[in-house]
Amino acid sequence: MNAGLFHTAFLAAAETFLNGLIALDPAMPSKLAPLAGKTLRVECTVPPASFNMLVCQKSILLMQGEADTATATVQGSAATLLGMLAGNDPAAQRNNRTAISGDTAFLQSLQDVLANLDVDWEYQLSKVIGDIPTQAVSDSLAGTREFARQSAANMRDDLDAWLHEEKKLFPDASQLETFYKAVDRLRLRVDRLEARTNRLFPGQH
Amino acid sequence: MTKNTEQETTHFGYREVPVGDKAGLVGQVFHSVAQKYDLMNDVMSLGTHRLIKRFTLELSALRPGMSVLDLAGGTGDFSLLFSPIVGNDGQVVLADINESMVRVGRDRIIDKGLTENISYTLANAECLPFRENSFDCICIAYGLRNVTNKEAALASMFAMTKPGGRVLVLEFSKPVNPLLGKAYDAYSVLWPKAGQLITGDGDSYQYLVESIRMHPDQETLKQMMVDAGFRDCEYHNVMGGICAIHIGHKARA
Repeated sequence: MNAGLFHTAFLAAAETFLNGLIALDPAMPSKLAPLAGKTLRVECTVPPASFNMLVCQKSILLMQGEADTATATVQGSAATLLGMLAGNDPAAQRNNRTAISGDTAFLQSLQDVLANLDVDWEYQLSKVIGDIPTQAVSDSLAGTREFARQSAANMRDDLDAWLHEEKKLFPDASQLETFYKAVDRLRLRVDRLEARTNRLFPGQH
Repeated sequence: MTKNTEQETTHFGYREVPVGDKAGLVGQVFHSVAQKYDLMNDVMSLGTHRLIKRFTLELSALRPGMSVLDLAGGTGDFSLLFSPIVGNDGQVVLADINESMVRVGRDRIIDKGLTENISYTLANAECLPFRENSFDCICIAYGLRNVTNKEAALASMFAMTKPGGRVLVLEFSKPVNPLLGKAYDAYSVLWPKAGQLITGDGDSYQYLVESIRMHPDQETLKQMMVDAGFRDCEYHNVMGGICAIHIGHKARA
């Protein structure tokens, strides 16, 4: 197999994964439709690779292709580009970790679409195992989530009490308050002393 | 084609048959294998034909709004790939000489819900029934070797291509490495047996093996494209030359 075919295979796998996710969001076609026909050229510096993302009505195609067909081009390392396209790292552009050329409004729109992928996992699960088991799984997950949340809160409170009350490793809030007030009083007295000293011995400071 | 004392003949696999009979014989082969053509392709190529088709697609440089002819399109693999790229402003025409193949391809495409920009036609590649300069891209994949008069087919494709457009020919070819060639020959001997098991028709696959061996090699096909009028002809060997993708351009007016 030659290098071009390997690249094609990699892009085909990535495209299948991406479009699998896109297919899980029923609202995706209406979000992609306004961008259909536009192409984002992705030029990755580390590792060195480049490809085109062609937006279609219901999917996004990843292909090796020519740079001159691109609506917008983005350059950067793989990690930065992935973070940026997923909308997790909007600072990447400001920090000069990516270079963007062409229609930046298109890039922004594509970022928004991909970052707001809204997958209804319960609906997807119900297609596989049915409505009633899905409800049971969903309730069970919600219960587990609530239990985990409460357990974490309890653990935090217990740890707090243990550190402050049992081990006396840290002062509690009232002790801190007293300490801060004492520091404030001291600061005021020092300020007053400084002012008095300045008045008694002018020109010596 | 060779000149016979009685009548002109051409090869049908290793056999010499009258020129007029080849299209019918090829038609019988594909009529026989149409329903399980894709499955057999997967078996014969170990699934790599899908990747090779994607690679060909990437070389097509298609853009939204373009018109493309999927010649010898058969079961519609390429039309399915072309359709989302050219979009609703573009046009894909699936053409094949064999009715059974077009039926399978059409049903498959309609079942996938693609109806907006694909149309279907029965057409002989040697005399394409379109206006001249109609297509931005013409792609013939694993079809040219079955055409009786390849020169006429290339000339017809050239005529139908718009100035500035390109033609892609994906076809089995000659492995560059002799060792790979021998391994491939040994593997392809199994195809008729696999064909017998899967489609119940080993003879058709015997023809496919023979037709691959009789097909012109990379340089010969490239020269044939140049002779047909194409410019800047080049080819990409895939999998060591087991397949080759030839690209030819039609000069801008």
